[in-house]
Amino acid sequence: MSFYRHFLQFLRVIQRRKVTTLIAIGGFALSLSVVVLLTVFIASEKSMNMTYPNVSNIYRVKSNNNGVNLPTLLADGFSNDVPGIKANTIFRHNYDKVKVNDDFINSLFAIVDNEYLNIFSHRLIYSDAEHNLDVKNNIILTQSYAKKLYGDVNPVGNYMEMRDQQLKVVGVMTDPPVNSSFQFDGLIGEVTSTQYTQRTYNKTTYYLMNHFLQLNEGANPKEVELKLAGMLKDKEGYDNTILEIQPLKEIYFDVKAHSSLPVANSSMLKLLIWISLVILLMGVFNYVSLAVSVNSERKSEIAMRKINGAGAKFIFKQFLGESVFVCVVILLLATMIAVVIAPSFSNILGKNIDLWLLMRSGVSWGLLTVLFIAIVLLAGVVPALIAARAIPVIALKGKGSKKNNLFRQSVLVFQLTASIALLFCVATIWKQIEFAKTQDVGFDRDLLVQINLSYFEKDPSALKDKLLQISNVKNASFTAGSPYYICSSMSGKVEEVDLSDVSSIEVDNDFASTFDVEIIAGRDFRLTDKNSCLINDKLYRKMGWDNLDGKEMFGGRVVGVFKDFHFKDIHHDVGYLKLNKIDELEWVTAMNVRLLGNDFSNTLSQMKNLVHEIDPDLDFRYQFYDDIIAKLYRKEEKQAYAVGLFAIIAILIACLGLIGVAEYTITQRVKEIGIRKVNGATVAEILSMINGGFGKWVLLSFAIAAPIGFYTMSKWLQNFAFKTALSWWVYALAGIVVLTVALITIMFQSYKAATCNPVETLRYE
Amino acid sequence: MISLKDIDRYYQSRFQRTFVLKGVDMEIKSGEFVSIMGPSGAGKSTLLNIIGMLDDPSAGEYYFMDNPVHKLKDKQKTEYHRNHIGFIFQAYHLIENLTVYENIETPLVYKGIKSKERKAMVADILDRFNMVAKKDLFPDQLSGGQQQLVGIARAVIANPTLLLADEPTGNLHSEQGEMIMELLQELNKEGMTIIQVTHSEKNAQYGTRIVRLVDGLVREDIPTNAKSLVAE
Repeated sequence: MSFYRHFLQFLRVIQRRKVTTLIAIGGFALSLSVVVLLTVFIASEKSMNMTYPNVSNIYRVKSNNNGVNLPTLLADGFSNDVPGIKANTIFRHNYDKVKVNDDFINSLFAIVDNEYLNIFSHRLIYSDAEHNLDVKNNIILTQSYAKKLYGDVNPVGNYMEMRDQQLKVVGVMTDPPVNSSFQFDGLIGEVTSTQYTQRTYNKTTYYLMNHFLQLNEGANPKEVELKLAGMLKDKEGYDNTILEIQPLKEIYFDVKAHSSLPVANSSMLKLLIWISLVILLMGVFNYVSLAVSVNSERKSEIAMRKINGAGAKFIFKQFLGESVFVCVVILLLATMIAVVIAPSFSNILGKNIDLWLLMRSGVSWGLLTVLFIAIVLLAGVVPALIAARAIPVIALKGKGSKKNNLFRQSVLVFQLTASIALLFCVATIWKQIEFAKTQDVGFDRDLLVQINLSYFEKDPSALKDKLLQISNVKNASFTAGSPYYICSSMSGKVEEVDLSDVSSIEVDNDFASTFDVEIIAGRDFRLTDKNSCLINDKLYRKMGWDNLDGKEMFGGRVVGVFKDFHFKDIHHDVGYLKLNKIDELEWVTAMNVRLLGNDFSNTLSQMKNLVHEIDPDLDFRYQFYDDIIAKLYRKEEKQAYAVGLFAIIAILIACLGLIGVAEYTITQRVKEIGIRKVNGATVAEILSMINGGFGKWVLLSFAIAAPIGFYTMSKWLQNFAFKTALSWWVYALAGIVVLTVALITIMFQSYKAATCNPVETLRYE
Repeated sequence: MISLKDIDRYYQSRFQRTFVLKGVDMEIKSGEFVSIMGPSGAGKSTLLNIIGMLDDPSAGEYYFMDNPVHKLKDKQKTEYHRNHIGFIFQAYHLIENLTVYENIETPLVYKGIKSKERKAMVADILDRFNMVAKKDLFPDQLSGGQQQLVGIARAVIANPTLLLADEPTGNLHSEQGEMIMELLQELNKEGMTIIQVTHSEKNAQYGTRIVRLVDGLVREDIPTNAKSLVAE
């Protein structure tokens, strides 16, 4: 009964302060929901690959220059020569179309060997006696893929068509865990694969794969690493290569590895953890500051209750009870907001955030409980204690204490600082992305289109002649690998100069003319050149040559030097590049075509018809180089979106806080404003006085935010070899945006205060 | 009932003590109606707060119903607030988010009186003060005089032995003020001990005794009908 009465009375307190309450609760709930979502996101990123039972014993083999696609012949060496290795397997993705019951289905297979299922602890749901992947054309499907193709029946023994091969289903396995780097629809053996990533050195061809090791329980990974370090050294083209191993749990965060497996940027994760902490604090401070100010308005109530016989304990209980109620409301609201914004959040972060997953696990309930108690303690106990300690005589005199003002202003500065810093980060990230997308790459990328021929199975030589007959095609060049898609690199000694990581692209004799790359020494390829190469200026200078007479490199004759151009994203400096003349067109992966005129959709469809005349099965895929370059910075774009979203949320919370502070400050100054008006101040003067007061706080926040933003972004830009400048106007922009938003936010309140009649405000007391 | 012995109240700053009250001795018997008078800053309200246990003397002894207040703990003081002392303020100090009814009921709640009994008591006093129609209004919907009536109702509903009033008519115009003073006089006649702080000679005449304070010292302590030697 007493509880119910207090509840009703508290509702009236809220009703009298609708704006303040909305601000406090809304801001807190918003920040809390963001924090919950980010926590789920961060937890799921951190747990990537952790669900494999053998995770602590699985390692990936990696070369000292971050290569993870290593020759398959390595695999034979592991189990034979190195003690401590229990088992080893290979892994590579194989993207292809399969035909089942006359339907073509795009599928993502993984090329592995028999050990894969054991090392990664997959169970077979159905299988034939052998389920052997080392037999050509055997395939094991994942449970969900099998269900998609065959429904709920046991599909073992069925056949499916991939190109001209008949694949036999020999098993159905459990799906790879959702939180795993290894995603695929089915497993095929190396013998079955139709696609190869290979690297040819002189006449030796290596087939390249990811290699994974399972070590014995208790084996020392350092010892294993030492034993296999030199295993590739004696192979042609791998002169300086030292092998390393890295734990499975680290591969998701290894951005440097040249791998097709998904990766996450751990510095981004760290940034997100900081941001979520800042946003949580913003919400909490907002709430506490408003709660304290509401309680200070209720001072006379507290005093009267005490004078009428309520003890400190009673007051504490009353205010704590109110806080608990508010916290429950906040949590409910936060959950609702989280559910609503989860999809767009997932979109921006590029990962499905599963709130239900959170709800199902006991740990997260525990975490939520802890969070709840923490919030009640922080947001409830502090104001309640202050209320309970109030001394009636002082409370009745009704002056706000200076201490509260200081707290309120610190909160405001904290919130504004966070907003400005975040805004500055977003602006800088965008500026860098624009810079990356539009900078001069060194070759002419305008109207240059790349057609994917990786899966082209016929002889491409006929294609080029026919292609050049299309009226809007200026010129074309076949390549194996291409700028921004480097398939092979070499290290070694050339004329006593140690070279490491020399990237190479196999090209035909039209590369320089098609890409509009200038030859600055020697000559371009001729059609008849065999076993010859062009090198870039950087490599030429590294060699210290002054002419090309009789110069050779890695077994190829160097016929010319071309001007440097970018062939990797701008995270990397322009490296050494060698263009090898293709002797046989058989291995090309791409055709690069320079178009003329505007009507490229028509030109492209003509090209498509042409390609299909020769290989009707080929999936005609093309990309303009502009898009290829833009795509390199998708990850940064996502970061910019994410940080942008948080900046907006931060500004929103800061605005809410600002309204609260403005409301309070202006109420406190109503009398002063009245006196000033009586003494002749105009509305404009009063407005500029109020706004100037808040402008001062924005300025102070700006001064704090600038070095923080500068430091953070300098760190972030260190990821790039080519950086945009941290210009002063970006700071200014962030500051001005926040200042403007702040002034607009308080405009209504300050105008109301400035225009009110002094007779009204001075009447009391 | 009240016995003050050599009460000092001072504020200590780094270099000096500022005395608000100095060496106040006073005896107040049950059933008296005392008016404390004096110029601004004489220490009237401080004395009232000390008597009401809202403030502590810096030195001296204070006995309330023969109990040493200067030795009481906060909890025990709360007990006195519940059972023996009622307050009225110049600024009324009603709780803004409670209705008239709930404001009056507050002391009974803290005293632990049952809901049914509370209802009867509040109904009685509303009736007596002619405020039945106003019981569901909030304080800001009432005139000053009406608010002060609620303040008095709240102060006396738990039937305290001592009623303390700090300039109860200070914010009211004279007609309302007279009504309030008559009410206080009536309560005094029913046996309630009342101490009021007031600026007004006229209001002081409603009481039985006048104490004049100047600069923290008791200058005069005489019955109401005696001739004052210090009043202008």
